[in-house]
Amino acid sequence: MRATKWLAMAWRDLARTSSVDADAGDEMRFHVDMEMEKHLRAGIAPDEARRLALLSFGGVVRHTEAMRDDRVGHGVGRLAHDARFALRQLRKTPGFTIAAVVTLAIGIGGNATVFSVVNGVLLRPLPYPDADRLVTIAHTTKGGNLPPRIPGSSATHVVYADARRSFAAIALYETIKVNLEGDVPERAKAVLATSSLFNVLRVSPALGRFFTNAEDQPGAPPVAMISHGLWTRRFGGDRSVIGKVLAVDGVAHLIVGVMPASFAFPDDKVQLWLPMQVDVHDLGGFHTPSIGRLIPGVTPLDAQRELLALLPRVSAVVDFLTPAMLDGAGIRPEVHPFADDVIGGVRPILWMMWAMVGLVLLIACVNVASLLVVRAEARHGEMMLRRALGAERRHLLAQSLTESTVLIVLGTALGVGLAHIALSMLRRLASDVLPRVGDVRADTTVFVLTAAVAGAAAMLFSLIPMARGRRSGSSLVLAGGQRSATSDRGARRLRHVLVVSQVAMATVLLVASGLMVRSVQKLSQVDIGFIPDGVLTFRVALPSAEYPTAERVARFHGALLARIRALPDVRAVGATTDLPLTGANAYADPLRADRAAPSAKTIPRLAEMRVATPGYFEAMGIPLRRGRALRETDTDQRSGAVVVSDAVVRTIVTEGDPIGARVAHGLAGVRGERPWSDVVGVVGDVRVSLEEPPMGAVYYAMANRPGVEMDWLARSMVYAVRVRATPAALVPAIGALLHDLDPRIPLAEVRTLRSIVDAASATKYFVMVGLVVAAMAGLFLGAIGLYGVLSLITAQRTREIGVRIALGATPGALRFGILRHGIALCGLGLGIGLFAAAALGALIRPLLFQVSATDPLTLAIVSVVLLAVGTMATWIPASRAAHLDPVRALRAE
Amino acid sequence: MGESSAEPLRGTVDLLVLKTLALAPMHGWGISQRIQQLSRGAVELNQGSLYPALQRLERKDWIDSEWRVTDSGRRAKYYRLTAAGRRAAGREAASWRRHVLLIESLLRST
Repeated sequence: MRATKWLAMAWRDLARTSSVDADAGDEMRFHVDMEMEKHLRAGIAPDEARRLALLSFGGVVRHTEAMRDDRVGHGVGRLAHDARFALRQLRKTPGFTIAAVVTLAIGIGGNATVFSVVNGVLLRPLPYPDADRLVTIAHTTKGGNLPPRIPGSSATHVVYADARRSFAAIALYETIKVNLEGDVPERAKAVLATSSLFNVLRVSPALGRFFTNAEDQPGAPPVAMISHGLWTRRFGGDRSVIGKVLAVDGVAHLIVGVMPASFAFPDDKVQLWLPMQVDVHDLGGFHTPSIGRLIPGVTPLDAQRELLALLPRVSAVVDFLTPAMLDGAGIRPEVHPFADDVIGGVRPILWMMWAMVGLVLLIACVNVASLLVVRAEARHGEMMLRRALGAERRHLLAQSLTESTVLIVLGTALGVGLAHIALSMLRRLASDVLPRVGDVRADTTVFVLTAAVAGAAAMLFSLIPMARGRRSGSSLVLAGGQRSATSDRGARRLRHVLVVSQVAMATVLLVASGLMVRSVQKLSQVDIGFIPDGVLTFRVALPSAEYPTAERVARFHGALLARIRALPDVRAVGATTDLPLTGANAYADPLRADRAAPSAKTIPRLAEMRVATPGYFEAMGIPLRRGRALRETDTDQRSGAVVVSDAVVRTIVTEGDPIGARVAHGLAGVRGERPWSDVVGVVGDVRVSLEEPPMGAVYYAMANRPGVEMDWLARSMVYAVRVRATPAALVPAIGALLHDLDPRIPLAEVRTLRSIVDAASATKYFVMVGLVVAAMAGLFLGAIGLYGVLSLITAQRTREIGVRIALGATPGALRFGILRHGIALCGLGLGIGLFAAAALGALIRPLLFQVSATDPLTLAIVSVVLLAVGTMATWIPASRAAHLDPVRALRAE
Repeated sequence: MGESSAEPLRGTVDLLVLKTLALAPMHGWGISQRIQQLSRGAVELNQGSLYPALQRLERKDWIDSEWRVTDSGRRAKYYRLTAAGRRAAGREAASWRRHVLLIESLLRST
């Protein structure tokens, strides 16, 4: 048929259904009239003639309807009709509708939320051209005295520059903090980088240019590239900023470029990028991250091989790293995608979260399926009646599909709304835990995926009532009423399978969240080595340009400490290089000891290198084990005294008194090898991170024995002030003291010690909260499912129960019977769930802390909780059955 | 309704209608009477088959319809064969004959 004619007919059929019907009706009536006239002509009486005519025709209405179904465009009209009908049906049973829609919304909303995060954080490429070619160049070691993984170094950077087969460019960078002077001085995150960084990243500046190779040479006049944020904040977005001067750590830097707003290397807190100015005559150890851009077609493994061949040349550029030493430590280059560094830590978290909300969605779907099965049972008779009255099966199927689709559409709409709320909360709460979370949006991909999931669910749902509808013969159902329809064994088995699978999935969720709760609990039990409450902390950093000598640094900090100590409510005050639990900030170097046999082959164990002022241990509540703490006189007289922590004692002396032992940081034979320092005291260990055992620290005085220069560390110190009152109340007074001493120095990183401790477990806490929410949702939905099914079973057995009561069954026995039924289902689900949880243990293991994936206590608690909830869900229907009035029960049918 | 009359074979209604209309335009009742006459009462065309068939053929563009006044002065819907319908009638008839021959030979061979 021609398309135009088809359209015309479809339009006519749709727009004028009644007139088309009238048309057909006229035609039929004409037919009947003619038939009647024929009989009249044959001499039959008029009444009989009419009866015969109608009889032969078989009902005008039926034929009109048959023709209507055959008409073009009828499908569309029926769909709208079905949707209206479905809405009417759903409105008639608000309890069912609300339960189904809310259940779906929880499942779909949770999925949309987590998928938005997975999509935004894991799947979306980093904002650099061909970002998949960016790799981190790190090194692995044999472990032992060195951490298993160490970053790049300026020495390897020089050597690796020859790896031209694999790399288009390689850069070295280091994140530091600097003081920016101005009306309000501030502390800003900055990156020192080789000029090759921009060849690696290939991002053009929004304004100006990159710094050049010449500007990256030692002694070149200082230049800076600033972030878009800094440009708008401090320069009001003025395009003439290029060529202006910015005082960074007291040194005037020429601004040469502004990066675009999207540029956030290595993270979005960085405000400026400065040339690293590597001095080839003074190359250092493995402290500096390195990033490279692979040539197309080169794999990280190829690159790794080329670097490995170049590595031995390091000994030629730095004399203190002998080939034997590199070999002994098992140092080998390791190349991996840069994206792993940005998002690597959260990958297992997100996959697991996704798996968990996936389970919640499954439970939700099963719940809705259960509800639909129950509903199909209830409407079984209606469906059969409609079949018997001539409704076609495909129409019933289409209508069932429409009804599910309407539910899904409503559930998805509500779910997407929930996801939007959850995401806006997540963006605010999880910015410290999840990288890139600020850009996470529920975008088109998320919508498409959510719609696909929802659509698949819709298909599944609508098949369930139909699968039920097909089996039993209509005559049987009509004859037997509800009774025979509902005792169908297949239906009962289906419901049981659904409930058991729900309980099993809820069990997996509970186990996962239980393990996380235990991990967080274990984290909170970690001996952090100090007393975190009632301590205010902040950082004071002195630029080397303005405080060039150790004496001036020591004098400034000494003066500030004395003034703070004189404030009311201050119990103790001290300062150190970096606070515990703040992660990688702590500076660590190999530590030699005079009593340990020196070896040319091995790199000694690492120990943190810290500066501590008198009063620091007292302010932090770090216990003094033996000897004495550092005093003012150690700084004044440059006594060379140091205090070590417990973990260091174990490595420097095998037996006897550690007091009087001598230690020195750094390798022997290095240019500027440090002389020995004398151990005068031992303090407790503190942790760099909650999850790793303490490395051990050596605490130096701010000014030290000649050769043990500490001013480079002492210049930037974190203060700890233990107070009697609220820590935050002291901030204005301290700000005023600092301003008096030097108005150019910012009061930075003001935090309480408690908040630092909390932040250290923030990731695990975040995962825990997420899992507990998912598990509660799963348990809640599972309990509803169990309750619903048992209520139905009880309702269906009303007659049987009535008979049993009439025959003398006691309420207790009846209640027990139904409870046993529910608990058996629950127990079966629990068993399967525990088994599944054990099988899925590998997924959660990386996130656990000192808890096994099959922690018996967790499994026991989960079992108890689940059985308790299961019993509660069964109790109500069981009691209802127990207190049934037998007379009414028998009349019920 | 004669005892001996039968519903036409499945799938042949279209062909019967086309063949009937090949003579002259006709209304639905006329078509049913005509088929009955031609088959000497052997084929009783059910109205439930006839009218959907007419609609189906019209949709295929094989027949056209218009409301006209009959000789007795009543309004009736007349169906008329189109050119496409005429060709289709020939095709359908040929295919039907082939079909009959095939069945016949199969029946004879056993």
